[in-house]
Amino acid sequence: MDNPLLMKLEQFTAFQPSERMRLDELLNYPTKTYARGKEIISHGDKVGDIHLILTGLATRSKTLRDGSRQLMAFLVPGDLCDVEVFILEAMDHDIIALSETTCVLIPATEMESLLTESSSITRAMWWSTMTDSAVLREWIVNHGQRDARERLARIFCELLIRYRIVGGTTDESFPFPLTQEELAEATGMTPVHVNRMLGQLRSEGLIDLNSKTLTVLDFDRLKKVAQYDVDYLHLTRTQRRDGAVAERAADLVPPSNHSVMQHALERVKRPFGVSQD
Amino acid sequence: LPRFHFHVHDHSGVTHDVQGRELPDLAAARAEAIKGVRSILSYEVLHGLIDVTGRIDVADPDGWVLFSIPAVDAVRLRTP
Repeated sequence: MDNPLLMKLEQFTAFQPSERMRLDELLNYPTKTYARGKEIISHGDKVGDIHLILTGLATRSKTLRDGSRQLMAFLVPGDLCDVEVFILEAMDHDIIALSETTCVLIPATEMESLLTESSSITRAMWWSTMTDSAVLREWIVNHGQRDARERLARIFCELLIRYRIVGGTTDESFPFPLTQEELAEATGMTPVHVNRMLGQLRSEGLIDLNSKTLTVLDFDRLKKVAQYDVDYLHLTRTQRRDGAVAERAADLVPPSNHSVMQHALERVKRPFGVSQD
Repeated sequence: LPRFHFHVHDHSGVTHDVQGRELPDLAAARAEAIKGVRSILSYEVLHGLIDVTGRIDVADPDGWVLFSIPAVDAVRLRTP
């Protein structure tokens, strides 16, 4: 099976065969499948294993005393739910499956040894954690500055790209099992308003939502509506059009001028022995 | 729990609620519809429009409209 963690981390750096093998070995740990709506990890849990999502979709959420719930992040295949647990005492939020979700449970000790034995895996994990923070910053901007229609549009732009880079989809459609209520909890809207805005995005010819599959019909226009700028995902190798990694989302991610130039320059320099490495 | 569908009728036409929501009873569905109307109106106000000519039809899964909430009844309207 494809290794979504490897596919995600590859966005940042190319791995040696031994490192790829090491990342693939992680998939041999026991897996656990959670039904839709089930808690993968609960607020207050002290977790001994790190949950890597292999298939499905999960969310980070917090519930207030009155029962109202805020969703704060979506976790797609390749995402680590709780890589922080071997540093932090206990989880400060819930992780809940939004569709049937399978995780591989990587012992914290295994993660620690992985991080000490390979500096490029460590750096890639750092990249991943920092990108998660950048995604959260976008979530805050979404709540503070974008209006209802823009908020939904932005979520769809981001999810399409995130599914693409881990091979979760190869076209413009991706699994979207969320109910209106859950989408409302993710965007601070009411479910009725979510439905009204989905209807509008549909009638504008931007998206289609059918039997738990969302299709982006016009990515460029949806991006404009969302004022979406993909920089914050830091898809270094795709922006640089680097190897087969770039192909997965190159049509959605504009090349970064700076990195393309730098990369070309390094290639020219290499035969003369002035490479930075 | 019974399932209720909230179909929005407004200046842009009808937005059907295919999915619907499970709620405890009619009173909860009514509250949900009022909240829904208000949230749509508040979005439109931000875009410079106050249009209370629409309504939400609350229907059961067979499509029977159980009751309607006219937008104008979901808010207290005061004009100069």
